[in-house]
Amino acid sequence: MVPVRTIFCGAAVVRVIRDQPYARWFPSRRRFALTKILALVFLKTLRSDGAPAPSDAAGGERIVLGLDRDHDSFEIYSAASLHFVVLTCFMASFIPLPPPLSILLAAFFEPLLALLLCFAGALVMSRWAVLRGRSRVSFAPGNSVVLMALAIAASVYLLGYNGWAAPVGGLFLTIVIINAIASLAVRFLQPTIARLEERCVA
Amino acid sequence: MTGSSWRQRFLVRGVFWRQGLRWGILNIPVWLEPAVIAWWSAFFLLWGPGRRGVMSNLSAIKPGSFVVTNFFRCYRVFWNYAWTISDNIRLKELRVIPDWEFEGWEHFQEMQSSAGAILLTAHMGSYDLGAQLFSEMSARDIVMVRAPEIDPQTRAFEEQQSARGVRVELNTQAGALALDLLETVRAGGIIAIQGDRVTPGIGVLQAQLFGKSAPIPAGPFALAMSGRVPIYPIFVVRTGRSRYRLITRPPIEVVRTRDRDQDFARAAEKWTVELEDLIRRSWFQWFQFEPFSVELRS
Repeated sequence: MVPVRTIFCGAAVVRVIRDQPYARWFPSRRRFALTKILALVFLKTLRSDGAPAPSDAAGGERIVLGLDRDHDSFEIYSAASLHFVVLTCFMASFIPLPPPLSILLAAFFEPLLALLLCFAGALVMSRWAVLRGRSRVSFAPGNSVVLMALAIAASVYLLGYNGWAAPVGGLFLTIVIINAIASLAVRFLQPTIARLEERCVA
Repeated sequence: MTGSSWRQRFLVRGVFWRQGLRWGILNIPVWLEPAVIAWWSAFFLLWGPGRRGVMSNLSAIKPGSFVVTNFFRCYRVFWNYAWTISDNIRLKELRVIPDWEFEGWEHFQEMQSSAGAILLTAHMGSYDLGAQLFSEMSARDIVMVRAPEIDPQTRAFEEQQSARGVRVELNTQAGALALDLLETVRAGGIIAIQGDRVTPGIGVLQAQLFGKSAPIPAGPFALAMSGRVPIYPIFVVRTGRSRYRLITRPPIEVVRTRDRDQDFARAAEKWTVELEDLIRRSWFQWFQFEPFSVELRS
């Protein structure tokens, strides 16, 4: 059970944890507050039963887990699916075709539109950065905020649009609101989370 | 830049797609990636030779399967490939390390403590991610032997992006390289070679893979015999998003007797048994885009 801070690739410091399966459930390996809370519940349940870590029980399966906030597949796939569904419905509502066809057409073009928005976002942000005398390579965080804001705006539109797509908008907005409440809880629980994670690797 | 080299950028092995992927990793939110990768994986199904290559390989791996089924399996191969190369760029550009699990840890440790070894692997999971991991976990010199990119611009791009802490040698000058590698392995270094595909101009051994005659590179076996070092079959398998399993199998000893051809044939057979077993289990990430056997080409 050795936590390590290691120099990886001879360049930047990358935080990894070795041979600690509980670390899979670290809230710090998640991006969204809602999944952070879920992970915390799992971690607390696993720790409270007093059972040894699965690697101990299995005779020492070796694992190396990265510690950054984009490691939860469930979270990433769920966010991608929700965003895809909301924007597809939004686009479909503008296509003058009956729903199955308009949805199919919108679903085909949605990833391209998202890509185009990322491109435009990166272009604008890079120009802005140049004007302010800063040099940045990655604009993913900025694009993340813009695309999520667009999805919220689209879901508000869908909710007001009295058609088949209204429940989709409602669902997305509900999840966004629950996530906002969860983010307040995470802020409040941050010391507990940090303590629990430290105890796990101690 | 001439007109033809400009056009070459956009061919399937051109540099445009590599640069596009790098741009995507740096600018697309991570939670948007599944949708984007799903779309691009479908787009690359338009790449006829690659799609047909994968589908013909699948027809040998899964005999009796329907063409339609293999078409969807081919999509799964492209999907896994897209994720693998994305993880590779993410590690290099953003220093995001995927999760690793190890199978056959005892063999892996044995390899690290041995006085020189050949690491024989296949076009599965990520060769580059595996090399990065080795350079981090091993104190030994690691030399990665690989085929060069066909497109010169792509080659230059890849050289710029190659793993730090790992020496990369291209298998274009087989004679001179062999002596250099022999010296490295005798000095206790580890040579990583891909043993499931041959490039023109290198020595081959004829082996059987899924009941078909398949050429495999002779170099690793000759090197193991000359250097008196074991061959460790090692595979990097993607088990999920940003999650990989490093599988190390028991070593293959290339024992020298009076019948050299027979020695090579025995060792090659042991390798193909391991390879076949792994591909059967993880066919969806064997990134072999050309038919592995001449029998399948016809």
